[in-house]
Amino acid sequence: MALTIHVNHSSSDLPLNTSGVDWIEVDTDNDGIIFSNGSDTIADGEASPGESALNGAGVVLDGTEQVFPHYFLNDASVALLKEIFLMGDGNHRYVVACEFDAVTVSEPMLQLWDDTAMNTVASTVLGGDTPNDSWIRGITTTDALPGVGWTGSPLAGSADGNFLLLNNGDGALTGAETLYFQLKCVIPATQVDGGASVPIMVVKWTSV
Amino acid sequence: MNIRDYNFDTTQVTAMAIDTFNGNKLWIAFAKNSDNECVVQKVSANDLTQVDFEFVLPVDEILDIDKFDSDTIYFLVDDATALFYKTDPQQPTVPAPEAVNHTAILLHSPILMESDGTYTYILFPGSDTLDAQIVKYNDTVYVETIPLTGVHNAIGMTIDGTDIWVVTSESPSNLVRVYELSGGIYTYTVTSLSV
Repeated sequence: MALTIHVNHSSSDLPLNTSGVDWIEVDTDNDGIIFSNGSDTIADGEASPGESALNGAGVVLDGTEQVFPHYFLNDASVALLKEIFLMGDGNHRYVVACEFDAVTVSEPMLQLWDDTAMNTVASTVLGGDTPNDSWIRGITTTDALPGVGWTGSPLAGSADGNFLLLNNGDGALTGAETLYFQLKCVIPATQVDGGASVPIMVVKWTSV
Repeated sequence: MNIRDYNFDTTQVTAMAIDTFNGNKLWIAFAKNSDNECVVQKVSANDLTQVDFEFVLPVDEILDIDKFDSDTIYFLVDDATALFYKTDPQQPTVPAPEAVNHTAILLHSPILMESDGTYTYILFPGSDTLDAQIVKYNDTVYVETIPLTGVHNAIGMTIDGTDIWVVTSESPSNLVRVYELSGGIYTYTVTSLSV
């Protein structure tokens, strides 16, 4: 069985394979997702940026809780940024699609880790070893919109409450199915130090 | 049947309610924390660790949750000023929950709220010396108070569509049928549940 992940590169909150909606398949080996405040060079359609451009488009800490306003797919196949317009704290359902082509034995889940070893969550954005303090919040939208002002679960590691059950807790998939989720990155008001983190996202499941 | 345990050992749960609009959800109210606030979460009923919404109410305790309809949910609270809070279960934080305050000086705290599809009824249980009473609201608007003279230590209330039923913890317990004669005039009968 296989999984393909897609992101919605449009402002239309409509399902995968909807005509006229630009869903982009993610190359999970080479693509990345960038959280940014945006700038002239960190914008939809611009070239894949270097570190300096990314730093220049960081969110400025101001002692208040802030939600990152822009989310981009760094599309390695064309070396361009593709903005995921609906990602963030908005009430949007069809943002990231996980397309499974067959049954699964366990319910697919989304986890975030420091790196591909998948055994630490020390990154600042993952809560610095305190998963409940993770800046990255997620909510499963497979069945419904997340709701205006959604809170979501803090994502970091594999403890209960710190990963997403992508089938909304309904269990393993009984056939080919597409699951959806929404993400946002929330900088806590208490954050005083600047920095950058490069955690990884992983979708886990077991198959026959 | 699959039974799962959820351990809330660090924070006591004081009230819960099911919400079947837009999937199976559960509302959970937690006991007051160190910030003197009660956390409320809307979570997946299939897995309580999957959080949709979280907010706080600045009260001593959330006593009961009444999911009125798809647009309205009430939180009965123990607080010197607020009697209950109202919000939209689909977007409970935007705008923030609205407080509905007591209409009279409190002699004791309420314990339950139930709705009949139009009105909401809040049970004040009474005590050994205080009579129980039911306070009736039309949404956030106070309608009337129904005194249950001689009824003490109520512990339960339900509505069958016509009548309000109250049970007490006296020995023997009393079952109280409260019903409307006409025009908002209520009366009640008391039946001893001795066996």
